[in-house]
Amino acid sequence: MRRYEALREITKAITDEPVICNLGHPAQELFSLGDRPQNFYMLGSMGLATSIAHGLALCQDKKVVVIDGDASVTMNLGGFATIGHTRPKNLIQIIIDNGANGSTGFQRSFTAGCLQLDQVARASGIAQVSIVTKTEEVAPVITASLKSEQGPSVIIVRTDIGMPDGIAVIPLGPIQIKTRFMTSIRR
Amino acid sequence: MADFLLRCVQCGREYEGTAGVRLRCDRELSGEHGPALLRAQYERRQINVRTNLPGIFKFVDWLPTGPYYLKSQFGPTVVYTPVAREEEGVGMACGAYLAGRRPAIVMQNSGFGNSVNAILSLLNYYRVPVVFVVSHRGSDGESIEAQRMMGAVVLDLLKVIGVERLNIVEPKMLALIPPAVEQAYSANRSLAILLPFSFWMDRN
Repeated sequence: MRRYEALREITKAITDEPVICNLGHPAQELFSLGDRPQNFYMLGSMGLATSIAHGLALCQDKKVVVIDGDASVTMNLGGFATIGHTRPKNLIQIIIDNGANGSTGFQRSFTAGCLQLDQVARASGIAQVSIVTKTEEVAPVITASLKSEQGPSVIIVRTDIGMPDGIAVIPLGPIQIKTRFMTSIRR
Repeated sequence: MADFLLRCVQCGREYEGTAGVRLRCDRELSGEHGPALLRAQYERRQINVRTNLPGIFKFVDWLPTGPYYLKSQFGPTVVYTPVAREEEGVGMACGAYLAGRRPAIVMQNSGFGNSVNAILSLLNYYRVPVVFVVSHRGSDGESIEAQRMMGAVVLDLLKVIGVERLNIVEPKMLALIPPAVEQAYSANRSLAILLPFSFWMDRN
C-alpha cells in the first residue's frame, strides 16, 4: 500500500466530515481521488495541518479529520502535547507514515529510524492510538473512530514510499479553498 | 475567585479586588495623574485550574475580574487554550477562523520569529485574520539584554511580513485597540498589538 491507496481507503470511510489535508503530494492525490468543498488543502505552512484541525475541532462540534504525514508531524511534535492537554473528542488525526519526506524526493525520515509517533502520542496523553498496516483495515478503523465518542484519536497508517504518475497540481487557489470550506462548515 | 489586589502602576494605590469591577484608578478619574493600568496582585502563586468550567473560565481563579464581569465581556462561548509553540497557535487560530471564530493569540514578540512562515503561507496567503496581543520585550525598561535582539526589529519584521501594527506606547492609545481589531477582522488582515515592557512592570 502506498499513500495513494491509503488515501483511497480513507475517502471510502469519510462521509460529510471536514478534512484538513497536508500540503504537496498528499493534497494532490486526495484531490485526484475526489474533490469536495469540505476538503481544506494546505498549500504551505508544513507542520500545521494537525494544528489547523485541532483549532477547528475545539471551536465546533463536527468530527474533524486531518490527514497529516510522519515528517510533517515530526516538525511540530509539540502538537501532540497540546492535543493531550485539550483532548477534543471530535479530532481524528490520520498520519500517513511512509518513513520518508515524500514531496522532496523520499529522503528517509525519523520514523524510518527510531522515532515511534504512537509512543509520543500516548505519552502526551492521547489514549486512542492505532497503527494500521493492511489496506483492508484502513477504512474500518477510521469508520470506528468516526463513530466513537472517545477521541481524540490518532491513526497511523504505515505505507510504502512512491506515488502514481500523472498526479497534477491542485487547480484551486487559497481563497477559493477557504471560502467554500467555510461555507460547507456552516451547513 | 482567588483573592487579589489591584494596584495602580502610576501611583501605587491599591484596591481590594474582590468587590465589583474596577478598571481605573480613582486618582486617574479625579485628574491627579494620567491614564494608567491597574495591575492584579494575587495572594496565591499556584493556579487552580477549574477543569469543570468551559474555555477561559477554567482560569477564572487567575483572572482579575469577577466571573460575572468576564461572562458579560466575553460570553461563555470563548474558547481558550494554551499551546506548545506560537507557530502551532497560528495553525490553531486558522482552524478557529475556519469554524467562524475571531481568533487572537497572546504571546511575546519572540513568537513572531517562531511563526514567520505560518503567517506568510497560511494567514496571509488564505487571508485569515489573527489578532496578536504582544508583550513588546526589549522595549524601554527591559531588563534582560537578550530580549533586545527581537525587540529592536519586531516592528520592521511585522512590516516586511505584512502584519498590521498597533504599537501602544502610552495608556491613552489603548482606545485605538477596538477599532483596529474591528478593521483587522473585517479586512481579513492580521494585526499585532504591541504593549510595551513598561506596561507589564510594577513600578513600585
